[in-house]
Amino acid sequence: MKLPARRRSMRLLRPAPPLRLGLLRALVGTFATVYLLVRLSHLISFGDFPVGRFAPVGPVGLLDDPLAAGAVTTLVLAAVAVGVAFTIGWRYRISGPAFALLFLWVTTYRNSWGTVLHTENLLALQVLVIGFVRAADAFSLDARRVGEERSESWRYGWPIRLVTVVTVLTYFVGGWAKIRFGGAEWLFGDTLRNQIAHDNLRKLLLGDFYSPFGGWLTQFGWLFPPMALASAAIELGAPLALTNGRLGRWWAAAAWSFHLAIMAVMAIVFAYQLSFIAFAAFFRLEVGWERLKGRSWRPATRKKLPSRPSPA
Amino acid sequence: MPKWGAVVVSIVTAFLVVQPAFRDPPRDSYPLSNYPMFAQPLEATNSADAVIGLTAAGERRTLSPRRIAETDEVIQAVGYVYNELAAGRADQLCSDVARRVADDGPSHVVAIQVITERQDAVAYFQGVRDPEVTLHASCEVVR
Repeated sequence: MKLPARRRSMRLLRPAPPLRLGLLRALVGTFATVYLLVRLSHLISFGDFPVGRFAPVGPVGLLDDPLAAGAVTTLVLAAVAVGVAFTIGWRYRISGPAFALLFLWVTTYRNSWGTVLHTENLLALQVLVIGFVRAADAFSLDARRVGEERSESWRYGWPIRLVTVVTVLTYFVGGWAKIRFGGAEWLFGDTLRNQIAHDNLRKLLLGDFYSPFGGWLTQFGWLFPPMALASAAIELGAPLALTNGRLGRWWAAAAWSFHLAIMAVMAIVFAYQLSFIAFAAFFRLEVGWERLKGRSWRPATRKKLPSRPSPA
Repeated sequence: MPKWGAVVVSIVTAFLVVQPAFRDPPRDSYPLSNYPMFAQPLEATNSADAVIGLTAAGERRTLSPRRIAETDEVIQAVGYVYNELAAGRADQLCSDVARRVADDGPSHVVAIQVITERQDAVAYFQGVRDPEVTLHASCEVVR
């Protein structure tokens, strides 16, 4: 059904409760901060990398030479500390943008040594969106301090909407690359099968974790064109997820399954996507939260009580 | 921020995310990328570069990414080996890895080889294992 133009244009600015955005901030912040903590020694190790291997990308391109080891360590530790403030919503006007920029810097720096990985892009982009909006007006220490309950507004709706837009566009771009570089051969030929076999064999040669299941699967050539088509449908069809809330949630489930399949056949772990937090913006998080707290998520229909007899 | 500001920010953000896909030549970067992984056409028979260790008995041993490229990331080690070979520095790579193995082990590795293996990957997983190996550099581990 075609929506009236006015309604379509308003979709971006559709109001949402501040709790939804607050919960999204807490979820994304928790993942990003824990991720930094888990990767702490790895991220700090780039302070000792040989200068000759420095190949800056993105914002790190501002540097001509790598940072001193002490500066790398300081920035990584600062990112973790500010990440905690971001997650709990403390002094968010500062901690929000600061964490967004620190997380971007630290992960970009890690990608600035000759190989660009693609597992953190979506997380960095979502943190950037959430870090620069009013995401701590609920479910935060700031909100508790102010003690004022805010009502739903477009100010809380559009950042969530923007997170979903960024999410589907990253998939669309990935799908487009396959059509642009691989063409029809990628969709209907042996490219996917060869990619899976080659990736697993390369890992085997390097003593890395690989997927014996993916290797075994490559003997069934007929399986791969349907798999490629399904993959292209999820990636290129991602923008359709913005047209309807229910469709968005189904697409989120499909995209999650897509990453599960990648893990199964290639042993590549997109941790953020597999955690499902990457798709949290497609859901009414406050509903889940209220259920978790044991409350009814719908406003209770009040039964009309019989009026008490007035005291004599 | 006024409503029109939110609309402008959203449009600019969407444009920034999408534009790497349409750049010519394409450019992979971070956090904005054209996500080229696994998009290129690939034949079943392909090459993989590696740095391997050899024991005194001549048996092959895989080396950790830390020994090969001073990183914990296999993918980064792969990229490093590829870049070094492309730059014609196979001998330097071999001696660097040999030095790290001499310092930190594994102790049973006595020699290092920088190789490229060419193999039909699909056939490999069906039991056909006949790689065509190109040796780029070989060096001893001096302890």
